[in-house]
Amino acid sequence: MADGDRLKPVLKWFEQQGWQPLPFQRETWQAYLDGKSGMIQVPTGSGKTYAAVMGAILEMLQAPSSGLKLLYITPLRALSRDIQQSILRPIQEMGWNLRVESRTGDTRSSQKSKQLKNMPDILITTPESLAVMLSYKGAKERFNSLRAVILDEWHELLSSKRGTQTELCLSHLRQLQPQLKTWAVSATLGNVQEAAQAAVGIGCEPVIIQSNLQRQTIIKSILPASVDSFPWAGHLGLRMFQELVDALDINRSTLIFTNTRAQAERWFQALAFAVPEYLDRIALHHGSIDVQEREAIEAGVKAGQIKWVVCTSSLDLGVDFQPVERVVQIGSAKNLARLLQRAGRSAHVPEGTSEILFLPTNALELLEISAFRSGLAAGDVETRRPLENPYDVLVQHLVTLACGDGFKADECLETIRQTVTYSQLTDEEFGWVLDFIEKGGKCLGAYPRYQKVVQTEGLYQVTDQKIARMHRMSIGTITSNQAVQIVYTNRRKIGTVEENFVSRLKKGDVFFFAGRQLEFFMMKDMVVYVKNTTRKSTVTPTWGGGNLAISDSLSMYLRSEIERFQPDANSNQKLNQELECMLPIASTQKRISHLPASNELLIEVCKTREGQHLYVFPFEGRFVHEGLGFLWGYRFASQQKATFTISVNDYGFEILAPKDYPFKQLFGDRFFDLENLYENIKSGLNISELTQRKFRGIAQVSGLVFKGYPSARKDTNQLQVSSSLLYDVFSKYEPDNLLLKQAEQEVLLDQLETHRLTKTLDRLSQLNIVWKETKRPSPFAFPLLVERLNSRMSNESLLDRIERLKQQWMNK
Amino acid sequence: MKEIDVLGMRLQLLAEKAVYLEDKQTLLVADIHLGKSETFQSLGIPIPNRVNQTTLDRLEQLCLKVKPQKLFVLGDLFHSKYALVDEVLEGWSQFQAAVDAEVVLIVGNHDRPLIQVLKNTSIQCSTHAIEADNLLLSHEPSPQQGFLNICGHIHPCVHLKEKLDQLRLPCFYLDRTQNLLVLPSFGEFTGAYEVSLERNSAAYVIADDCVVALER
Repeated sequence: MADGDRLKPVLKWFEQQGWQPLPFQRETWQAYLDGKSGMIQVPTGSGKTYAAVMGAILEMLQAPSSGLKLLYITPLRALSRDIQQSILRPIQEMGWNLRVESRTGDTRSSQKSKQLKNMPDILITTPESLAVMLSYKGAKERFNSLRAVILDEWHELLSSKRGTQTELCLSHLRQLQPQLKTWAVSATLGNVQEAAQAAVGIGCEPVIIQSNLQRQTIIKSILPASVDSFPWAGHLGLRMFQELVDALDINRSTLIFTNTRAQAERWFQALAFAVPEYLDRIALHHGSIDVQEREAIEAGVKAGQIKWVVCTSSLDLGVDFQPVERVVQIGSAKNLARLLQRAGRSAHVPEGTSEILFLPTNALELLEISAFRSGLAAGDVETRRPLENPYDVLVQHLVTLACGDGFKADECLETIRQTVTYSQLTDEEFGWVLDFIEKGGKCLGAYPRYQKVVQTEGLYQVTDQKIARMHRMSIGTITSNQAVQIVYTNRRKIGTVEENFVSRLKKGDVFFFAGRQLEFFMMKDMVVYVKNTTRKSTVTPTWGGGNLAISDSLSMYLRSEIERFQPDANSNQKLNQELECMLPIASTQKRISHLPASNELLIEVCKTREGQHLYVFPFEGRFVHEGLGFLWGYRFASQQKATFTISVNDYGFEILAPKDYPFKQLFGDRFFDLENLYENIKSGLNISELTQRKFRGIAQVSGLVFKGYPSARKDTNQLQVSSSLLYDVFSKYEPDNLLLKQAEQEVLLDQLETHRLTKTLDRLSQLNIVWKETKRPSPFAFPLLVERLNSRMSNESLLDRIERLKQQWMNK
Repeated sequence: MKEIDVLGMRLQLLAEKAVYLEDKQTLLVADIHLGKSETFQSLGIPIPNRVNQTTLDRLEQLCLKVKPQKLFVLGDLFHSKYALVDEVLEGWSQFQAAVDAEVVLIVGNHDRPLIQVLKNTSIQCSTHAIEADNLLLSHEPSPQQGFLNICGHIHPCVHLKEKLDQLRLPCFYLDRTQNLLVLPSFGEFTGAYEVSLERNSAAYVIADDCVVALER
């Protein structure tokens, strides 16, 4: 068949719309109809949904059959409605006989059970809902006619446990249906090939379709009227709010991105204070605000009633905001990919220009703006890599399969190794996971009453319906602290906050949430009841996990920005306005200490009343600095004992030691040694405390803690246990448990980014070290001094610690 | 060990998470939760059953050291119906055989549904609080005028925190207004509930083998 013929029905619909298919759309449809799998990488808003689905629809029209044929997987259930609408449009207008439905956590359960019996032609779902479907018997028949899976916003899932879960579910679908085609849709990534491979699975050659659409991104900044010679403190940057208001226009629809929810709350208040007359045109949108209210805000923006939305990554994705004209980023976006994504929310048409207004929250962020511009100009963007062997997700997946039709070990292992994430899984590791779900662990006889997965004639299955029910309720890999609902006394929902915030509140306390001033009334059954109030307070809830670090790519540009201040390097090149604005700081830095060139590592020592400070400026991002700080701390302390306080930010780290600690004398080349790197870091920081925190998520994903519903039934009441208690028990009785090992790996790789640390040490060892003794902290050191987000490193005994804490407590 | 005085009674708070009344040669422990690991196992969560033996070994060591005439368990000896399996009950009988003390269980909320089964064992149970002179032993707190109420149930712990450091430690909790003393939970695999210290109350925290008083 000629290509034009194959595409006829779709071309006809495009023609009716007055559209011309874009080359990348045609290319995708043809590749699909040739039976290929692959990945589409185009800017958001350029028609990727139709590129992705039309191939499959054409196939359905050519060869009609009953049953489910296309699965469309989206990371956000809120998006499923929009996607369903756009898929339905051509179907309805052309009168094609195809049924489209969604299935997410929000779908009614009656609808869900109907779907299990009678699947639509096209089903839009989330990774979690797909996993739940696999946990019911009859998956083989259910997915018997499946021809294709589309993975939307794959870059968002790829390097998370949700991405791993998706890879696993897809590998299982491919086992059931070897001819299955997979098409991922992704934003710009540094590792396109790997991302595509993870989507289609190993053993399949992905077609990569990139558009030649040029989306220009322009960064502008909102500069403070003047910059002191010291960077100001306060990471909220609120003192710039008047400048922001002046730069905005209430008639132009604008998204104002912040990095944390707490920051969004505060900025919303500031704007509401600045333009009270427009209060009905300003809104606040973040992940803890109730879904219905968020949907109302999204609708308001679309309809043009709401003009300014202060938001977090909650609006990074999704809903096509055609009318958004401007995007503002408050504080550094910390990586190029995120900046591009956010900038892309404006001018949501194929070849538009994206413009982003950048508001620095401290003076050193001016450097970052400048670095962003250089990074974008070079076309650089970060890579997002699939995880490596997260055992917890595998445990969950195997139990999911066992709840459904069951699995056979050999066949299952072979399938799992088709995922990029588990391609290196060893027989031993897989054996451990099998033992864990079947017998409770490797330790023989330790778990005589254990029952979960039962093996009969080589088939692993869950036979106890109670266990299957509990498992289905805990499917998913999104873990967060226990959230409690916030509700008005008339029961209208406002959103959720973390339990540990609420636990500090007493009746009558006033706090800010969802842009409202609320009075705490009472808490009952995981619900907080509140009333509106006009009484003043400055408390804003905090949410965990808000710390972002600058990326590998960005840090490189950051270092070269500093270079541009060197007089000789830039004699013929004018500084841009951000660097111009920063000049007072640069010259103070130079006068008090030194401005490091790209072949220099600046180390400052400074004596204050607090003690002896060591400042090191590798400009590698806070996570790398945390690892490096502990490593060097350990290497100092192993020569001369001390208690240190280590502080980090994206530019450098500080080690604070007692008076007259001889940093310089103790320092030497061996500080850059890669030997015993992990061991040194582990002895340096209290790794068990960090590991324990990571274990919380792992315990939840692997089904060790059961959250279920709060109005717990009898059986689940007996299962209440904290993950820290589990951590202690496992460490003591089964120290070889792979889930403990995974927690440690997550600390080293995700939190301390030790892979970057090795590269960093290597780079630093080649630099000339410039030691400066300063009389007072330099502008670079100042933020470390005032915004101390730090940890302690010490070899005090438990009793000493209690005595010290007791003194503090008595003095309160 | 820390000795305190309430209503004229001398109490030894032991770092082993028990109270010893020297005058009465009586040892008190609470919330042992035997068979909690079996309960978890039955519902698909692999907790090693050695936690039972570790708990019992600690209790046995303690009894051999203090040599009490009487041992009162202030409730929640067993965790749930899944706990009443041979290997768990067997462990408990072996413990009873190994110590000379008379052992009495004051039934707690976890034991209460199991009472029919417990009646068929050699465990001496009391479904009510026990009074002795001006001492009232119970599982749940039930303070009474003129009595010192010693109980369990709460699993108290204290959270100490400063900018750079924090600790969560099990404790004895004493409310002097109500003359109420709550024991820390004895079992290996038991959680804890943070108590806050009001006026007229004190916490005696357990740090390794010491008991440290926190009172203002």
